[in-house]
Amino acid sequence: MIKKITITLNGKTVSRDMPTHRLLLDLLRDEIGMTGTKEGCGTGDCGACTVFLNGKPVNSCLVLSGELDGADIITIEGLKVGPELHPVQRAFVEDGGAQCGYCTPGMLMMSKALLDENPNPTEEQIRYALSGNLCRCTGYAKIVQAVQDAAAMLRNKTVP
Amino acid sequence: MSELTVIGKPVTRVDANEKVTGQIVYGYDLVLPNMLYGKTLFSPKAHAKIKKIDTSKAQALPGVVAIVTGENTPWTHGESIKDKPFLAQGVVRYIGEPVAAVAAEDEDTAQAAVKLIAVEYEDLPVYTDPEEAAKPDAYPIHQDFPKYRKVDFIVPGRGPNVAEHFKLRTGDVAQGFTESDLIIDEKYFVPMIQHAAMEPHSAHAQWDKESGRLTIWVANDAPFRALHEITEALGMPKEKIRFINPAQGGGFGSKGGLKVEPIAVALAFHTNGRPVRVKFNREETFISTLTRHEAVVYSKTGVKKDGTLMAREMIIFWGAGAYAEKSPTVCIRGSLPAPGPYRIPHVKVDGYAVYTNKPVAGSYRGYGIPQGAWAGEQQLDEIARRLGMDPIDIRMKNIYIEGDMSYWGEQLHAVGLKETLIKATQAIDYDKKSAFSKPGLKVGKGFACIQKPTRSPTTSNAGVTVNAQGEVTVLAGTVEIGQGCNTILSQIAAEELKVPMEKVHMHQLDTDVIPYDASTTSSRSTYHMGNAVRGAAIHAREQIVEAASPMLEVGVKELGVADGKVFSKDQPQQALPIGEVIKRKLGINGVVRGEASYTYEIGKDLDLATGHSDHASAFYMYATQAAEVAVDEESGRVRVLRMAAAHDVGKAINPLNCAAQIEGGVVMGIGSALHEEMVIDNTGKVRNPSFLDYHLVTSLDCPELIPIVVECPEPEGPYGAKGLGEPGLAPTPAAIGNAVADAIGVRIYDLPLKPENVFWAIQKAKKKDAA
Amino acid sequence: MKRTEPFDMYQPATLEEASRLVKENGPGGRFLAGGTDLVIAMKEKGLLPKYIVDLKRVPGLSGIREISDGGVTLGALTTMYEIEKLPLIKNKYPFLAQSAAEVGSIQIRNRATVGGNMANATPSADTAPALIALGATAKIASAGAEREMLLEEFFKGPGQTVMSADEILTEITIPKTSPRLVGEYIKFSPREMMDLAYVGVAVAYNLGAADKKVTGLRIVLGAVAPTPIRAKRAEAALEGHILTEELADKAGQLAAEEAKPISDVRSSADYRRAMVHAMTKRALLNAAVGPAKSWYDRRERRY
Repeated sequence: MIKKITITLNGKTVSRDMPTHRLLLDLLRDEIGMTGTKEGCGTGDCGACTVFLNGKPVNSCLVLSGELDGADIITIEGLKVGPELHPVQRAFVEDGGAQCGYCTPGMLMMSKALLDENPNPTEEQIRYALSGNLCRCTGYAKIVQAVQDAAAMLRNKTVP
Repeated sequence: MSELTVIGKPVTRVDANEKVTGQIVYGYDLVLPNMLYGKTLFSPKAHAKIKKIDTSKAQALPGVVAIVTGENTPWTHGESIKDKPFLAQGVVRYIGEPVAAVAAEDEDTAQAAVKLIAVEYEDLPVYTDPEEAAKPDAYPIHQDFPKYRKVDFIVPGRGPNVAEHFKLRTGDVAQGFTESDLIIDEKYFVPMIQHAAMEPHSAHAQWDKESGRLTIWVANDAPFRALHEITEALGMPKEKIRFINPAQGGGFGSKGGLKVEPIAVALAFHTNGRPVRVKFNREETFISTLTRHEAVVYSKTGVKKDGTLMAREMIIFWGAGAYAEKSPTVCIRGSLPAPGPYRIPHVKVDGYAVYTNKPVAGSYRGYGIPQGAWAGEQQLDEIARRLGMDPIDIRMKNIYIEGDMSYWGEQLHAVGLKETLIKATQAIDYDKKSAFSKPGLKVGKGFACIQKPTRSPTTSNAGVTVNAQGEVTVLAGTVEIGQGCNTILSQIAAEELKVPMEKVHMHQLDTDVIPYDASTTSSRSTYHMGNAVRGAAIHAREQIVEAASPMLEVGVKELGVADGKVFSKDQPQQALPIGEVIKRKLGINGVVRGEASYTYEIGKDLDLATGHSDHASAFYMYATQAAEVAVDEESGRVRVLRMAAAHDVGKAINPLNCAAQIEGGVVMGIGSALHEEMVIDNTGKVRNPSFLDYHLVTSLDCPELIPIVVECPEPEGPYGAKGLGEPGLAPTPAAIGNAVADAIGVRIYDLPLKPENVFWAIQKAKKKDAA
Repeated sequence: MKRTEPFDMYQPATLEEASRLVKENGPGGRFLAGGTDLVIAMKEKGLLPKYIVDLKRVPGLSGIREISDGGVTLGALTTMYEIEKLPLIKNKYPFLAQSAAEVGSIQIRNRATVGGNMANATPSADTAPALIALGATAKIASAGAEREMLLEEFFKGPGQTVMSADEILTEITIPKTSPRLVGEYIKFSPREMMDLAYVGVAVAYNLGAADKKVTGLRIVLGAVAPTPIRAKRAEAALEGHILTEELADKAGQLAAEEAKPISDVRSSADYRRAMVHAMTKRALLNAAVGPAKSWYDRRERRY
């Protein structure tokens, strides 16, 4: 079944006729061509496909297009607002939080979700929040460091 | 050049921005104009003859453009042994082997078409145990093995499924054992595991009939190797084939050789010039790409009662899976160092790479060292325990130091091993009782030492260009797989040309343009490509200085380069920016090009009868890792509390990067120690091909990590550097195994140390004590 | 693993419409809540629904509210993350919040619903044991009809519930509990997160303030039988007695005998049985100590 869906994607209105059985991940990557959101497993086990759906971080590989009409979606491409990197992005750059970078978009989205909810997380809270995002390169150490530094940046408002 | 400006500095990654914004395009993201979508049919049988393939129903489906099977795809490929068909030819040898493929206008159609392909099979004997498959009377999995093209260092084994028999013979182990006061003989097992790079596998191919050119886009860690291998397979001239690398989302060895590429190429020959993309989903990546060798390791060690090692005899069965791939060299390079980095007068190793009807094993970070260390390092701890010796003391008594003659006849230099041992064990307060205490948990500490060679001899060529704007482009065939080579090589170019990092760019990897590089494997790139890039940058610099000499009216010897300028040493204000020199010499579009080639000149190849060589490796990497663990005895669950990893890197070109590599390696090692195994039943079926039941370490499972960089300079390496990519996970399982044994007084011989395995080991020991 | 295949999809605005759609379209349909089970079933377990009825626009299925007698009603579409985070649940039933926190990742928990977790009826479902231990009831509705039952009686087997095809689970109610109530849910698995439970144990009881006597004990096991089960012989051994390590161990032993685990790719049956013993004992004793203060504490001994 094809359904016309209209979504807000990174602040812009987008309409598409989508087969209901395709996933949000496919809509973003294949239909619209925004490949920043990654497929790592397709089964909700790795978090590489994390986007914000109606303000909440979800695995886009498990969301059916058929229910998306009216949805508000933010992807990695929408993390920067304006020309500057978001503090989490900047912290990942400075601390070396990205090695191969494939898990990075999902990690960043989840990190932002955490900091939006909890501006001063402990290390355990950071690890807990990111435990649904697998990384095979970094051992998570610099990712956790980056989230801590981003939290400090945001708390101290040391970014424009 | 006295002081280094950017070498040794914790420079941030040059490609970080495009990674954090999601702009970078990986192989899995790549879309080409007019592209067709390929999907693959895989064998449901581990070993069977193909009686019939009927593609007629699939052919009739609207939107299907091409279908390929072994019948219209007659080629085979292989590096050491040319044994692997693009698509199964007459026989399937593992569950998951590609049998047919479809290219269609969209993925749903391609999937529907694959479902319509009907194949009839006739069962053949299935081997899932490498020891069984190695027997002289076993059914040959490769009937034509004697006829395959093989490299000249392959030594046949005693059974038809033994693809390679590696022999190491030093002294006389029988003699050594008679002189020993204590002999321990044990069997260890390491299961087959996954690389689990976050980016699954894919490949794009396009064949242009008019020009006869075949282009392949693939995130492959050794495009020149792949080029060579596919050239041999297809019988096409090399100039007609081109590999282009999009970005790569990890690899750890799984993205070398040919896996998805042959399928894309086979389809591309039938699509009238339209490019074809073949993507493997995660399950297909699990089963039908590459895995790490399972290994059965028999280890017998004799020592004197003061801890002096006298003899070590090891027999290792490496489970190659259905095709040889890198198995011969993993067998050689994993078996040779398996006895450990110790002075041992009598050593005998027999390593067998054995075909089995299982997924193909290949290059995997660590290249056989983890399997050997799991056995050898645990056994050494066991010996220490029985002698009443501190495990550190027994290492100190035997480990290699500078100038030692190794047991394969090579004089060792740049041996940073002792320093790694001291630093790693100190970092977790090894000799002190643990500060951590909790009811129900038993705490223990353990460590392990390793030595890792790099494949030798190999060659890296590089080019460095500088234009009239002073911008530097590095042409290097090293693949950025996440290890940071783009950054390291940029640092080296920036250092030699004395320009800021922002002025240096890495050219995209395209075999039409980039000079030859052996591979991005074996921790070889910093050393080999580092030397080549350094040489090329120096060559470019020399040309620039020579061109500047008449411009500044100063002799070449009186000129220096700093801050992006050529300057007179006597009168430093007399200077010209590098770009300006080039502009004046060659015009506004002028480009200076430096070239260099680096090959490690090996002394002697490994002797096929003894395994000896006086220069088996360009350099050796040494490491010690120490673990502190807490074991929940009631359940067998192991929690790693902290892990110190001390690695001798020669020279840290980028200390931030070195720490990152170590951290990532250790966590990968923890995964292989505690959780990871491919569960394969006796029909050859992988029972856990997903991240739900194949357990990777999550952020919450991670212990405190203490990466320690040790620098024991390698004279031939760039600025003294060696390599670091692989050793990060090699000692980890043994260190944790030793820590668990220390905690609960029970040694476990089979990986992984998952709760159930530890639990039963504890129960078994309790019964034994009670009896 | 394969790509999902086409199906028809409806998004009814009322419960009656949802139920009617199923009656009209006949067999081969599925209800959709969060989709985290349904989509995986389509990709990995060969599920090929003809049509899907999305329940997320039906009013009255969301929300958590306290009811007059002090119990709590959870709408079926309450997500795992809401159960994990809402102060009402965290304060009244911390071990229920804990059990929801054990489900997958935050990304999964933002979609997975308690109604879906129940209706999917996986033997290892993480919130079922805690809810059953709290004596929860389930309300089921279809066009024009409604019924209620103990959640304990809702499950029939792996993937099977008492519901007929056109019935929908609308809410779960936890009856009033004593201020003396303590409880624990232990999800036993190798990693700290992201696993399915190898063994799940929920215990809930009233702990006498002075005498430490255990009353109103329920022990519920997950992942070791075709449905979540009460370990009634284990309960009987401890009910009305003072909690001691010995008795907790005895209860664990009995629970292990009552369990009917299978061997599968994750674990052998014998190991599961041994873990039922160990974790039941641990849950009983941990519950008396109080909630875990760190994530690592929740599965380890706190007594």
